Amino acid sequence: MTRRWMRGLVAVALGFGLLVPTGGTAQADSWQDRVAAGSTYATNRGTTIALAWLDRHTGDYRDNGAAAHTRIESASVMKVFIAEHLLRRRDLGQIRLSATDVNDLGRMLRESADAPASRFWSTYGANAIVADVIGRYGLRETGLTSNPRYWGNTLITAHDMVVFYRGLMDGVGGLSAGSRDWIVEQLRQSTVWGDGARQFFGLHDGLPREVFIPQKQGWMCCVNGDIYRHSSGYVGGDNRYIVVALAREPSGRGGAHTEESVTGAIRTMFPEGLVPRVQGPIGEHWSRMAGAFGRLGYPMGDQIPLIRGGALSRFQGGYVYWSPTTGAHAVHGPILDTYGLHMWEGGPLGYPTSSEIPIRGGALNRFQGGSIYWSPATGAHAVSGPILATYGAHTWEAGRLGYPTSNQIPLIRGGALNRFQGGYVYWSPTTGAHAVHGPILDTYGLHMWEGGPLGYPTSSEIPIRGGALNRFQGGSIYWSPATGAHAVSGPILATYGAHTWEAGRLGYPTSNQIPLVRGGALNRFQGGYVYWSPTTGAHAVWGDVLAAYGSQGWERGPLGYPVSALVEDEEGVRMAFQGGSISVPTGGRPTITTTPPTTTPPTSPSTPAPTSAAPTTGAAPTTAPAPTTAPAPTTGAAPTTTPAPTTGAASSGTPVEGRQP
Amino acid sequence: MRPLLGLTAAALVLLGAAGCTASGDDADGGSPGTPAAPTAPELAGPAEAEVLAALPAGAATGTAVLSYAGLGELREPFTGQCSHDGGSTRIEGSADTARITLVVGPDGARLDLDDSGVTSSTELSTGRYEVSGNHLSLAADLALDGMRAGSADLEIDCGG
Repeated sequence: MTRRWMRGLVAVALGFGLLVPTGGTAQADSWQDRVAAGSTYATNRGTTIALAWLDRHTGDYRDNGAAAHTRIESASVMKVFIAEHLLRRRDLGQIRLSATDVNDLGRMLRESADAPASRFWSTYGANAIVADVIGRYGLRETGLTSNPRYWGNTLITAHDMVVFYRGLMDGVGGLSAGSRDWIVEQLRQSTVWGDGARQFFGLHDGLPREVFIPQKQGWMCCVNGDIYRHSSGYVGGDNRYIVVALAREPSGRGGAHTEESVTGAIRTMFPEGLVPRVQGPIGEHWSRMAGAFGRLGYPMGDQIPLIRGGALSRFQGGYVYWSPTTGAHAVHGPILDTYGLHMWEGGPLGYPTSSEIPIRGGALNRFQGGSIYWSPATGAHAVSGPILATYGAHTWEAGRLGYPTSNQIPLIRGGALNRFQGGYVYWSPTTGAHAVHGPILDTYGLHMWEGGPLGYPTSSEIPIRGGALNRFQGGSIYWSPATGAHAVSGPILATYGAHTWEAGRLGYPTSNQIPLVRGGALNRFQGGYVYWSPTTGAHAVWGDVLAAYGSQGWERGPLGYPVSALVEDEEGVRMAFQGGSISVPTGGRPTITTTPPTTTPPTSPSTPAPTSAAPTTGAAPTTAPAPTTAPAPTTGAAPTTTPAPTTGAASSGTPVEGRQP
Repeated sequence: MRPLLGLTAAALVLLGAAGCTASGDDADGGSPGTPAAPTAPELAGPAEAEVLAALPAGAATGTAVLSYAGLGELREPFTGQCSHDGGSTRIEGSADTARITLVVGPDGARLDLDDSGVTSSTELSTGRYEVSGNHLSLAADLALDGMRAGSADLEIDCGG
């Protein structure tokens, strides 16, 4: 007994040396668990079973221990030895096989016909056949039948049958490829019924989802008090897997009981109904996701090697990617579709770094180069790079931006944009990524987005007293609940700043920049106006001076544009204009001094130009000049539908960039 | 009675062969000849016992061809003894290294083999059980648990 065990251990060691090539992939523990589960199933039914399994692609081999190395009578499984032996001798020109012989060989393999086996056995050397195969294939555990009359008493092991089947495919025994393929094709054509019994127990019944099963079955009753049922062969269109199940039990239980043990063992090993084409980390990940019974479902094919040493397995319900640096992660559903739009792992997103993460109202997959967010209302969209960082600064989907409603959209000057439910995040190489939302976003749109004079945002929304602001390359947009959102830019913005912006006398802007005559412009504010023209610069006007200015027809009147800052002292206020001046003594009435123009005379003070406004106070002008149109973005990819942020109020959110203007 | 039984048995053998082509050497392979599901063997019984009761007791000689599914075939000259015990006929002897015992009685027919490490015990189905004088011509399937387990062909003379 001890010696036998020692022989078994040596055989195991030798077998692994033969079976497992160098560089075999890391093995999933689940494979051994599967074999163990199959073995337990049969054993619990009182069946002695030997199980062995090999993935020819990876060299991954598993068996159920000593049982797989214990000899058992071969029954008809050894007919594949006979076929191999005869065809090789024929290939070598040592024997001639007639058409009848070849036909009989086919029946012997397909239908497990016994009569041809007995004829070939007695004609071509009986045990010498097996001895030849043992020698050429290195079957260290296989033994000759003790009674050469009975080929079915050839002694095989599950391990050695795997070695044989593998060697057959690899040409180890010297059989020609043509003869090998012929044998495999006969095995593939195995009939349901053969030699008085049903041949589809075991592999076929246990792997109903496998289409391609070249098999050699064996059954034998009532020999030495036992019933034998063997199922062995290849699984998969490329003969990738070898599965061997050899079973016996006392005769009294009947063949059907033994067959169910074999089939049940296979089913228990592969409850998916097929041999999963996944292994290693991907296989483990799949198993953790409940395998075929989870969201991923059944594998759709073999593992596919990818760039940078990665791999992919496709499943009915999604893909599992693996790479050395990222590990194995699943991607499925709409997120997978979006990932595909970004050229999978070869695109900017790279490999996934997480499986799908449920989040409030949706889900998320992280990738090396960004994230893909999904929600039922928005679909799946990718966010990456600096825009993702800014999105994060806004607390991602939980913040006011909500879920993305677009992928990254390329814009002019190398910039980009992601739309979100609650706003946009713009990025450009020179400005970075910044969020714009609410009424400020609407106003930004009125200024032709990044293609307009404002250019790209240089800040996200900054909360300030009573309102908020976004800075842009070409100006700023201020918002307050009372005034709405308006853009201020250029010299007018500088003058606004000189008056301490919204905190000063001018307060918040109440208009965007209004084009005026002679290339000038105007911004209205809560506390006054700021006029600018190319020749006069920008100057703020307010109070009684502004009212008097209005009474003279504003910039179109004889006073023209202001040319100096409004001066306030103990005597009153005064201000110089192109065409004169206005002074208002303290407690007195305005004095307007005009100088006749030397060039272009202003229009009649009593007839203000229709484009200019004439408020006497800070109230909005009735004609309300505004930007001429609501321009579309300059690139085709820019927003065209321009969904308004869902929240109407700006600047009430969390501070994102704390610097005050 | 005996000729009728023989014809019936022959017809059953033919039907059995048609339903189990793998057991015949001349069956075609491939889809057109794909073996069909076999019917469960009908076991031998009183009728067969009655036929064999006509055999004389005494020395037995002849040929035994026993084919066991998934195991192999014994095809050897047979020598032994024929005897009767009540309603049963017992033919026991040797074929090369094999010890063969056939017992056919009203409660069934059983064939035991013991051949150098290979032992088997099976029942016999109906088939061809013909006795002509002291000669037995028997062709029937071996069966166990309702399944065909092989075949037996015996041509034996009893009674010296």
